[in-house]
Amino acid sequence: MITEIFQQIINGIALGSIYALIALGYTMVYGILRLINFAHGDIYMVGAYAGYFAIASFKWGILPSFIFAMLICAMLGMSIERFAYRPLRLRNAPRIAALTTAIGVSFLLENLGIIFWTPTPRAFPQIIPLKIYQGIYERFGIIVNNRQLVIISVSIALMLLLQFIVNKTKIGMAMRAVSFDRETAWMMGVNIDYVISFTFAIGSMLAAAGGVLVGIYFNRIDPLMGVMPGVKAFVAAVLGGIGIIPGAMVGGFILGIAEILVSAFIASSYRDAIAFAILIIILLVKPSGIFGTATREKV
Amino acid sequence: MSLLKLEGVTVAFGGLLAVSNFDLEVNDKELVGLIGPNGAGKTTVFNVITGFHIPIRGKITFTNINITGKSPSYIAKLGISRTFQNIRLFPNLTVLENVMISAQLHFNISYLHTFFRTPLFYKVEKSIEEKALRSLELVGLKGVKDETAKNLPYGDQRKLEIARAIATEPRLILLDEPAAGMNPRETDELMKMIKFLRDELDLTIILIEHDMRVVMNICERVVVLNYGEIIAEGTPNEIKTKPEVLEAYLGSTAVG
Amino acid sequence: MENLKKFRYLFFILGVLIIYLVDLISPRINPYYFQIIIFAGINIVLAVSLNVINGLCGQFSLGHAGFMAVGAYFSSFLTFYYHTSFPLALIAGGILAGLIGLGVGIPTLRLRGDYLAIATLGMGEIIRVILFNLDIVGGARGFPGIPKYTNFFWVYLVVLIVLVSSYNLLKSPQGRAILSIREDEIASEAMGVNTTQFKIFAFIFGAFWAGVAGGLWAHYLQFLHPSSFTFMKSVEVLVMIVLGGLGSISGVTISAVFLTILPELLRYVKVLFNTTVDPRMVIYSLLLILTMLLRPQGLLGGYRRKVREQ
Repeated sequence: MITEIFQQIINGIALGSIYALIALGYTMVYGILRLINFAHGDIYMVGAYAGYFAIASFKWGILPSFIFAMLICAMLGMSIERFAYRPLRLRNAPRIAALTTAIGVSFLLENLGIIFWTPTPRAFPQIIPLKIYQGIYERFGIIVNNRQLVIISVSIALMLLLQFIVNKTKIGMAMRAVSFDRETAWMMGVNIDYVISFTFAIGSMLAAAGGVLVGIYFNRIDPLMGVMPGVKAFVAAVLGGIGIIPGAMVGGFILGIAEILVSAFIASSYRDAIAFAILIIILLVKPSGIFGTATREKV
Repeated sequence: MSLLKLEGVTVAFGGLLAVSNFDLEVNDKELVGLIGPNGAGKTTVFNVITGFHIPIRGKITFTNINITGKSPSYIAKLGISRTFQNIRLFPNLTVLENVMISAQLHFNISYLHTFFRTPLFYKVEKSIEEKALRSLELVGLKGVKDETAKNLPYGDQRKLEIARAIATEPRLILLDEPAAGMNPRETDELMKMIKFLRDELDLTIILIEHDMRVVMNICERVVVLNYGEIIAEGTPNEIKTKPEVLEAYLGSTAVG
Repeated sequence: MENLKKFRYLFFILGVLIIYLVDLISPRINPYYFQIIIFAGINIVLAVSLNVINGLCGQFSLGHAGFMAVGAYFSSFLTFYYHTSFPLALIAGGILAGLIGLGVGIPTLRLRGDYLAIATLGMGEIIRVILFNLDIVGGARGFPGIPKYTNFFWVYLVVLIVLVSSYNLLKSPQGRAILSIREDEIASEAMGVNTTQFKIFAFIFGAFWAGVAGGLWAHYLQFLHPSSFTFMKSVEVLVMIVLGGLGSISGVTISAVFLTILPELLRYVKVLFNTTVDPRMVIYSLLLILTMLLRPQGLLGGYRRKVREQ
């Protein structure tokens, strides 16, 4: 039993690291714009397809394919911000308008995906041959495969890189300033539009990486693959405390593990409900999330 | 008789004490000014009285009822009304509708009457409308009752906030910088109106104001706040001469 | 005006009578058009009820499909197993949806805009997952054999009632209180409006009618499956109210009809361009984005109560 639990936790961490990668994009955009970028899950889908075409059609290697997918999504993310969200932001439109637009963009990407790539799922090329490592773990009876290791290590490397960018670079400092107080940052000479664009680019690149990793891990991509992971990753971001980068990572891992445990030990048909149950509980108990501090609305 | 009493009220945001150990007693029909430099905690005092902030310590009583930590709508029903420093109207509703929302506070009509449009419903609606119109007349906005609130000029928006506040039939009204952004002529009108509210409507008024002319002319008592603490209290003339006030607050501006 | 008020009940009865008469001739209507007319009516009920939550009260709910599912399944459960009379089953479905609205509303309505949106989305998904696992109503296999009770009379009777009650609500003390929450929640509380209570009312009202609409839908199609009530369905209703102009009852009604007919017109486009792809959802999403960017008050709403601008 214990072994089984450990085994499932390892599977959960692999899934959770994907959620964490997507959650980072949500949390960064929310931190800066106070907007739930509903289209983020679909950017992840586009990333998976970009990786698919790079590998299957262009016959590129794994690294160029990763970079290609990330660049495509960076451009996509920046264009969405530029053409759909920025006009609303400049008009000081209500948040409900921005949220509605985001839902619209999400639907547009999904349905364009269906039109151009058909709704039929595609098999992602097996670029990393599956290897199962049993030897070293034999004593505990736990099985880990090389794809899980790739997912977990690539995710962690990207998260560390992100932490470095946010905390140690000039643009990272500008991002934090804008997220803290946009107006003051603007008065201090920070180019707000540039910082927001950059944030969308970074967030979308992480989502693209997540998309390619999922393709490698589950071997299967389709135009609606971003819907559920997108919403779940948002839950992960809320769980960790929205706007807080380490929070998104921890939230992603917790959610991935919880989901795998539910489908392994309760019923797999309830796996989609667990994320929302967690969400509703966290919103009731501590809406600011695990790492968040309560904020108040100005009267 | 003391109408409102704050005893040792302390409000904290994070670790910062926005208001600390604040004592204030306001008598019936008094007109009290609350002044102090920006960030002194004046609006926080209003927010804690009206239930938008919950104090970490202290007690607030209104007409001998303990209102500490009660909800804003409950406090409004008891008879405390307010305006907002940064104007919070219902922007897309008409002037009349803005006031009707507060005028309906003491009317109770069930959903059944609303959905079935009973004669009682029309009677109540009419009473609410009449009451709202009376409030609008007091501030001189009856002529623009069908205008959308956000289209009013700035000074009229401030007046509409006052009309909306008095339509709840309060005993105590808290005015947060009512003269902000008004020209001298409008300010004169405003002072007359505030006096009228107190003298004719028997309202008790607490006023936050930066325009010293207003404070010195109409307030009977002035409380000076700095860094969340009361540093002086007295009649306008007494306040003018207190050195600690001059130091903390009037160092940069002259007394009017 | 005063004279018209006296006859308000008479007008209502006259409306019911007209609906009854049209119902009598409805078998002569071309079945294809008849189906569009039925769906238009159900969509009006869905849109007008969501409009009370999103448009009038300003609370962003994405859970309308969930409420609709509850009403659809529960009323079908009653008519299928207990042969309950149709109007009773509709009301019961609406009440259960309303109760769930209450259960969801109490804890989540403290949340601000976008958090509420996600919480209601989550609630809708949880309802769907539960239905998926509920064997008594077919679970993943679906729920066939629901009696065909829905006809023109019931659909448009509900349309009439939902429109009249929404108008009556809008122009009332309760309606103004609900609008004031949308306009400025803090000012609203300061004026003595018990905002939580009115938000919950708006939620229950919206959920109830969504449940009734679900019941009408189920007893027309005679088959239910949990996958009909995804988040997409909620967004479809959202598009209707955004396009019609949030808060405008007339705009939202017209837009619900328009968006029911539009896909049928698009069929010809498909034939014209000889394509197999269904462009409906692409057009929906473009409509949503462009409306927000170019005409936030809605394409059809020339109405005063438009989306709040800060």
